[in-house]
Amino acid sequence: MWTSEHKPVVGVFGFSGCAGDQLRLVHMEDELVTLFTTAEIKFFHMAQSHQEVDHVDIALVEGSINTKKQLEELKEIREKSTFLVALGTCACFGGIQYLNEKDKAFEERFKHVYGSNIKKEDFTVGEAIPPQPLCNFVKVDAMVPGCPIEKDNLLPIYTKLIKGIKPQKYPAPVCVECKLEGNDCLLLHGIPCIGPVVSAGCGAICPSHNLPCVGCWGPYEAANYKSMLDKLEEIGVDKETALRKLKLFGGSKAEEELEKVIK
Amino acid sequence: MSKGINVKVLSRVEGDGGIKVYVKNNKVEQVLVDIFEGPRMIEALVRGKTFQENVSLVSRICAICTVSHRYASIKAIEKALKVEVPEKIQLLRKLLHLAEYIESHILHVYFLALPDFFRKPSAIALLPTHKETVVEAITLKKYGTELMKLLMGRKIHGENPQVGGFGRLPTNKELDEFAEKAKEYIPQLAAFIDVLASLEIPDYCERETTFMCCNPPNNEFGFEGDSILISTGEEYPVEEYKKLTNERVVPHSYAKRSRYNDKPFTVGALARLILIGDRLTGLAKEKFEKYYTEKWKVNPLYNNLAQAIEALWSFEQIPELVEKIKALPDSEIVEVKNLNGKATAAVEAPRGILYHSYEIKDGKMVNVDIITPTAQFLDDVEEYIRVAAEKLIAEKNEETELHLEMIARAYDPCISCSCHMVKLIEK
Repeated sequence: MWTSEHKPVVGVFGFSGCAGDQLRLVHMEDELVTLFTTAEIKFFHMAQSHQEVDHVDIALVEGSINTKKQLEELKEIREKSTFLVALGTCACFGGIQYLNEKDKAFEERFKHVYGSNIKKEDFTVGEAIPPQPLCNFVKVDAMVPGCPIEKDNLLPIYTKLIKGIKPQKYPAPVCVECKLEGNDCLLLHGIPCIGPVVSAGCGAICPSHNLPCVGCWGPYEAANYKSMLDKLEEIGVDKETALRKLKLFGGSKAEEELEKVIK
Repeated sequence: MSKGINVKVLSRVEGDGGIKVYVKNNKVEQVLVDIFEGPRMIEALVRGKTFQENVSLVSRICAICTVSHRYASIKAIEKALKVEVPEKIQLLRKLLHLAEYIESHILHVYFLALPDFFRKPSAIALLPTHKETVVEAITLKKYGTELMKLLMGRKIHGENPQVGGFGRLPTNKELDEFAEKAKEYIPQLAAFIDVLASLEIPDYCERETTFMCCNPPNNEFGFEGDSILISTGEEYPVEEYKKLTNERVVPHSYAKRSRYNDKPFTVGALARLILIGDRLTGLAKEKFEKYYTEKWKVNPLYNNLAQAIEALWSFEQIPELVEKIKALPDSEIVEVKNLNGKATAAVEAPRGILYHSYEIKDGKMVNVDIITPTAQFLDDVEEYIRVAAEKLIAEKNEETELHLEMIARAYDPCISCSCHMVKLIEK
């Protein structure tokens, strides 16, 4: 990998999403100058112009893929990068707009928004496909979920990356951070919080504001969906509502895991 | 083979777009602002979700306007379900909205627009020559994002503002810190406005257009209202928003486009100051009166200055607003009892009018129509680029592409919800 004489070349790329993960980088006011000077940021169109790049050591990629043009660009980024990081819940799991390839809802949503006279082929900016996470198309070396990513879980990963060290996964659900914050468990009060199956990294922000976790960091890797569903049922949440809550930000991973449990 | 101007990727904007200008015999035939963002179809996916879930989802339409989306959504839901919230909650929402104005306008004016005037690729590239300005920009922006964090839970997409209230209310001590800092930053920003106003604004993109903005209540300046003012002298209630937008699908963008009376129009800071700038107060009023000219009505590049004046006005509101908030009692989240209704609400996002129109049945979203500012003004951006491209090509300007990008950037487009760069294509 890169040596100390050679600053790592970083590219920040964005696909379908709210651009919040890129904006979260721009919102690291205290670290902004260091961020732009410790590595050579060669591509980051939200923050700078005049950029061309043949190869990046680290590609930070935000957003889900949902046009054929974006898919070609993602493949090009993969080819031209050494280490590819999926940045944010959309890139990691597809985000709130996630739909699998076979889901008929895609056609139905398209018709609802654009009308029945408009065809997907009519658009000249890339034919639309169901929104999916990066890992459905290319090898992803590290995932940093978040909606958007949070400084405290990105920086340890980024710092390792620019030093050429492979980062670890964030190995805990929201509950761990909730305990660290000293919060009272909302589930014990009958409030439908889905923190036990959601990846930590946010600092348990919602429970710390007396609100149930909405799941925006995406599924925790070792989530026990069976227990979660049982608990929600126990506190009186109907199955339909429970599944809807778990799928709201859960994307591809939640769908996969829930399919196993429901079987 | 065709050749011409092709700004493939428009930089220093939020989202993914490009500008193509088709030229034949030195005449501009067509201008297309391409939007490469894929269709996320949020309006379709929120159907069947509860109104609380809807608030979490629609705020994710855009990161820069997350507060405006959340605000418009909560307002539309409360209007539809006849939820009345205490004054403290209303004022805290207003304070949060001001924080977004500071964050968004400072980010755009200093970080996205300013580097062009010095022919630099980014604000960071301005560090060696304009360190103080860059540090000031970072400080002012941090003020906005930290205030958003206090009230929203985090800098982007915080869940704290809910239908009926807030999960956690800020303490008086937390609010006081922001009121004190605002007083400290007001003179800094006022001085920067004088510097910004001294920059030469090119005149290659002059043409008349129509402006629209929300009419804030009590003849005050502000960023919301139940009716829309138009520069033609007309005024319509927000419920008639379809008449004002007439959304249509174009093949070069998954974001729809708007026209009024078959003509493109402009929304945003420039529109607001042209229509209701005389309602400004304080130092912002002084700066507006000092720098406003008839040129503002024909040249979108003045939007940067208009944004800076609005950011100043926002800072100036905070100390007094904080005092009012502190004097009011805390309140729990108001319980929603009625689960059926229909309503339309509009707020001014930093880049223009944002409509959320809802139909709710049994607490779930049945119909959701959202019209973003960028979807409203992109037709006008194309028209201004056409006018500018003709002049610049005729005078064989060597920086044509940069100038065309500057026009698009001046509008502060927000492309997640609805541009990358410029392409001149000779036929």
